[in-house]
Amino acid sequence: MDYSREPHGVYFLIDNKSFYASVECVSRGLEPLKTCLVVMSETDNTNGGLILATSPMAKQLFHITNVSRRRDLPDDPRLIIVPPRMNLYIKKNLQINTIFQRFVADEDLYPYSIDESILDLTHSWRLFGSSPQQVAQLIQDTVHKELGLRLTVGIGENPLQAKIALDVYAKHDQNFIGQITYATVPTKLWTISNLVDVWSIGKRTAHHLTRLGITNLFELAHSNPYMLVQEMGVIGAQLFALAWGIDRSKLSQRIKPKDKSLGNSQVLPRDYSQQIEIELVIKEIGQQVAARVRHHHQLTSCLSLSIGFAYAASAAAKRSGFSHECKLEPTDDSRLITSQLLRLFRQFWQGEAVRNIAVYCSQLCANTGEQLDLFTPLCRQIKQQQFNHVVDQVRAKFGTTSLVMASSLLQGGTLIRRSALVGGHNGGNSFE
Amino acid sequence: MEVIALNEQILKREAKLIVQRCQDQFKQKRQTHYWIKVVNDHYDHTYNFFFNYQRLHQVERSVPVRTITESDLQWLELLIQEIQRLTEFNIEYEGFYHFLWPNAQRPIQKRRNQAE
Repeated sequence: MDYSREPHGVYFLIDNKSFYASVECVSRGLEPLKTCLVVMSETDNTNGGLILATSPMAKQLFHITNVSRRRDLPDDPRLIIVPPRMNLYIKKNLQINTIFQRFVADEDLYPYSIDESILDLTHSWRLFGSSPQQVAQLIQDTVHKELGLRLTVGIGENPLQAKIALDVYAKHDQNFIGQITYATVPTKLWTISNLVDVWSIGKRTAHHLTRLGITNLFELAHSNPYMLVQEMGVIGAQLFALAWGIDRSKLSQRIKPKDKSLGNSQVLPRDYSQQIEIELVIKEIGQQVAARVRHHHQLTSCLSLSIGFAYAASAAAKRSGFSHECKLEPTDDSRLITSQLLRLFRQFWQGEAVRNIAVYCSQLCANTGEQLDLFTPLCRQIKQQQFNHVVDQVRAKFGTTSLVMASSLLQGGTLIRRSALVGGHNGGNSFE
Repeated sequence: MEVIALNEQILKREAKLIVQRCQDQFKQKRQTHYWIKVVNDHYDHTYNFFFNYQRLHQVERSVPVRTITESDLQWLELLIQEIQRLTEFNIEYEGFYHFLWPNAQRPIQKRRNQAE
């Protein structure tokens, strides 16, 4: 393979070792690599407790994995269980990225997730060391010295190589550094025997490849690319490039989504079977999403409601739920949005117990002015718009729970209890 | 004079808040050890308070109760005295090895912990 025309850069993909668990260890004066600690969310809908993060030692000793449940935890006195503090983790992530900015220009730093960032060091690594590994170590040491956290670094000539180096090699390396280059593709990429270990290959893709007689990356790299494209479409071509360590993406070119949407979803704390309770939560989510649409100065013209049934109900109904959309005149009005959602729900719900609810607003357009309706009195339309804005202003100033529907106090309402959550888990504000 | 009174007021309010949050977690279960942990966080320059509890031979639970951003040992000593006046929970210290209480001139933490 001739790699001379492929992009050759120096990319780091940096990940925090057991991020949430490490932050909690450090705040308790404990060494993150030597402590058995799990971060467990115990909100209403986690069924006893959901493990969000596990320290490396707890993984090693008790084989606990993330997203395990409370019932899977051993009752061992060496183990510490702590609640999550999402806001603290966001703050730490910002501190880490501020450190990264000392090594790369702002435009070469791409936060990838709450604990992962991509750094394009092509132009700056020589300022900090004689080799990329040395620079990686310097970044690790700086973060450890200033924040007490351990980093794992994947190094590659493109972001794909860096990501695979991080996932497959860095996590098991003594220095927490892994590297893949074009020259080492045969020894480091093709030797990966388990397809699902590779980024972007999930269980279903692996299964599809196995059906085609491809069980590892070597076989993928030496398969017929035309056959892959014929079988899997554009993904087939992408997978073939992946097997050869090729990634031509330009991170500096931001991808513009074709159709942006805004939405919220939640898992209910228990199975809801009464219509009044389910409709209450739909109303709460509808209002929340409408407020977000207004906050972004947008109007929506397509509403989507997805309902997921409880296990028993989905087995009985022979479907796991339903998802339907409806069109409407561009709007950001809470009342109109919730009434349409309720109409959708009543049309398709047949009495099944519900566990998941999701509401999405798509086909957004800029809110450049109110389209008045000829059939509704003008003063009522203006009053409704002003009402929405006053509610938004009060909530922005005094918090979401400063103004709630009285019905949210009824049994089944989730808005008040969820208001302190960040990403569905405890934000930790009440501990400060 | 007014400044001292104000400081004392803040101190009492802090101690009351910490103790109240610990009391909220205190379930008075049998064979369970409850204690307050104070950590000198030298990365964030804060004093972190946790309420820990552990039932015999079972997992330890650790709940954050307060983060004090004022990193002043003299103030902490007064705060701890106030907490001890309000509650009888044991207090464990981390990150204070080699530190002395400024007024009492006694070591705060006797044994070095794993991270030091």
